[in-house]
Amino acid sequence: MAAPEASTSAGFRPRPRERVGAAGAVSARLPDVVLRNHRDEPRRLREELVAGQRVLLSFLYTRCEEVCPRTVEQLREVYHHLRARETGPFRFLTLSVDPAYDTPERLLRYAVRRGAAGFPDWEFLTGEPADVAAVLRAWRAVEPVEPGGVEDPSSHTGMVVLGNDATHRWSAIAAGAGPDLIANLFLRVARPGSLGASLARTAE
Amino acid sequence: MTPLTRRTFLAGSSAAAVAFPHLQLVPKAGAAAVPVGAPSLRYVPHTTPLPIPGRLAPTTLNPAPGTPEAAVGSAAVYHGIAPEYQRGHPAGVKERARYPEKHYRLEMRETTHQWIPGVDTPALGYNGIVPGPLLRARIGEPAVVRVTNRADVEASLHLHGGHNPAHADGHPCFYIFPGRSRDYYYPFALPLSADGQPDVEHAVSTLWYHDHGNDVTARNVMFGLAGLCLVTDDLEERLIADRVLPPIDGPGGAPSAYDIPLALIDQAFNRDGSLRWDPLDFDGRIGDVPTVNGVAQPFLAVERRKYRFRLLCSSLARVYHLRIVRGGTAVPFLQIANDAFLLPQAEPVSSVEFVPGNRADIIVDFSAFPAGTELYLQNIMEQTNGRKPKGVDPRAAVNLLKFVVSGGVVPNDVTVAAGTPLRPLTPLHPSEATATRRWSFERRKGAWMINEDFWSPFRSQATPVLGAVERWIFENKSGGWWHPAHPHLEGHQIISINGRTPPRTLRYHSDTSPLADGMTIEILLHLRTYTGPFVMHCHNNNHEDMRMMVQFETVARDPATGRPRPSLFNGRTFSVPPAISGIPAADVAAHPELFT
Repeated sequence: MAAPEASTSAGFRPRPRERVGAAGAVSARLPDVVLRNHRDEPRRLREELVAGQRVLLSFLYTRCEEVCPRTVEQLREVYHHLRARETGPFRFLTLSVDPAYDTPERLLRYAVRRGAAGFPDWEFLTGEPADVAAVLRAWRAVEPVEPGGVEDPSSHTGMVVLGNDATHRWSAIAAGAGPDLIANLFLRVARPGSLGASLARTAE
Repeated sequence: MTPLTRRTFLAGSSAAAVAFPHLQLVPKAGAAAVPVGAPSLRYVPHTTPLPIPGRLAPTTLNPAPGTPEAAVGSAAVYHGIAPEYQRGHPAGVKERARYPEKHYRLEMRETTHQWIPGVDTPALGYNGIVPGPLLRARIGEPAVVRVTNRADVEASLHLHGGHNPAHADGHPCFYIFPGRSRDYYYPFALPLSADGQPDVEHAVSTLWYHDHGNDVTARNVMFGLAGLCLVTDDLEERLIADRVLPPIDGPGGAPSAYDIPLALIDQAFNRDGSLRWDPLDFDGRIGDVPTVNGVAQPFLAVERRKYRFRLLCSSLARVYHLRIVRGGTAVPFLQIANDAFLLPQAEPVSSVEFVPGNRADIIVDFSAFPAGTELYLQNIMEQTNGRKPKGVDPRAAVNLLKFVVSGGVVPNDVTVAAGTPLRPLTPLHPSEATATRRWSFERRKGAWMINEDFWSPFRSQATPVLGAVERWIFENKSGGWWHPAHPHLEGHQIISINGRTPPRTLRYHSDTSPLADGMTIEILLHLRTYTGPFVMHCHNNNHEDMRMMVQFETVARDPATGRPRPSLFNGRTFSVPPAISGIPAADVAAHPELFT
């Protein structure tokens, strides 16, 4: 296996937030592609949807009848849980792993059916298959496929990836781990400011 | 940071240095110069002396531990001290504390550290030092270490291999909040045998301390939050006084010149000299720069005598197969301890294989080598990702540390030799086990799980009764991954690996079992002294952070009814009494995200 992609291809950039930081922002290593959301709007992934933002990413395909619908139901609960506790901006991005089939219209129908279509900051995304494949690889969302093997959409990760591109802190958790756990992990890992400051406020 | 200055420095540091592509893996043994990240980070292997960790000096703590001014919620020591410090607890009673209690102070803070000479790399260090200062302890000498978190990240400190109260054990949610302190009470008391006598067979030797914060362990350890703790008891001190083993202490409290810890971690760097940390690498971080005691590929001048080296695998995911070579020929040596525990007798070996979390104490005899001889501590385990090693391959050897022999043969050397008795051991027998638990390490759609479950601090998956011997079976069903299995609280005895008797150096006591791909390891452990909660987890720190962990809670019997007391956890919230967790209840209510 080759050494992982260098995350500093953009060169050294001071990071005031993360004084003990290491790699550059995750957004910097994403392919700069334009995807389409379930409202059929073009979305530039790196700059519009991730750079400097708090993001929760999930992966699905609409033909999945078993696991993916449950994932969306769980995420809807996570979304409401976060909105109840959070005033700051964050984004839910749900990316199709079956972009050839999952057109924006199909994603819209799917999101409507699951009660997840009406949130301005929750987008279901698809795009050119090659672009989506590159995005999935960058997010480590597909299990490594043997050379010459076929990428099977049902082999996609069951993980939700979440974090804060501004602080470079990310984590991942199984979509089936439960809404409370996922929401709390997001609040901890993707917190917008300093943990020390927020605890000090509590102490006062 | 001023990378230009360093680039200038490094450019002049080696005439032999050659430009290599970015992020090339470390060259095989014998290469002249190692490119790291970029030509500006080049260094010449084995030109930097091995740093020997300095010792943490005892101090006076004010306010004193255990006083109201240092209780949970106090300004001075917000997280308080273990309740076992004050009660008439077996670990706290006077006759078990033979020496006066000692107090220490550690501060975790942001700092810079030169893993590569001349390159100031941002780091996290205990007292600003990487690896942290060495804690020298004795069985029967209680210690309180007041740890302050000066970094802006969750933290918790685990004394790996120690036998300590839950409050002081580094439970991932028993945090030290930024700006706050916790008094870690390490009784250094032995568990009691059935006859009520201290169980000297479980006395520990080489421990290490490292961060154990919820979800941030890998990151914090990689940044430098790890250090060693060396412990002696009467038996080991006798072996040293009788000149069987080399001295552990140098003159005047200085580190010994002949008993030297070697903390191994592979590091990776960015172009700017900062550590390369990929927050999306959930497989396990592998670095391309081998380091020993915080320095890339150092050297050590040795005398013609026996040395004790305490090898520590503080890597996040790398497995090592270590040997000592002279000119390509392996030199035999002795292994005298596995993890925290001296072996029953010194075992002649030609290599040591160990996984993240493990220690191995070895004796290397340099007396036969003429002055000027160069030998290497070498890793011949090939590994290119966090899943598992590819296998042992001497052609892929990487030299970690160079030894340069000097002087004449040292007279009156220590006497340890193959078969020398060390610490007696009465093996546990499977018939003593009152419970059998199966822990299946799995991977499901990218998630790490144990018994199809994710770790939650809300519930204990096991509630062993204090004093019980239990049989635990670790099964690795994850399909192509290694998972070092580490139960806290007690060492364990490996009784079988894949149904077979373990190799000699693994069949006594361990605290971290090398659960390789597809492997089943059966252990016995005697859970004593402290009620829980404690955790058992995979010691690939990236897997651990992704909840490949279970919580077990040792519970005492109620003296009135004889029945085990109920578990502390209600399965819904983090409901540990503040005295045990060190976290005021109001903080749990205000920040539920920290306790999930």
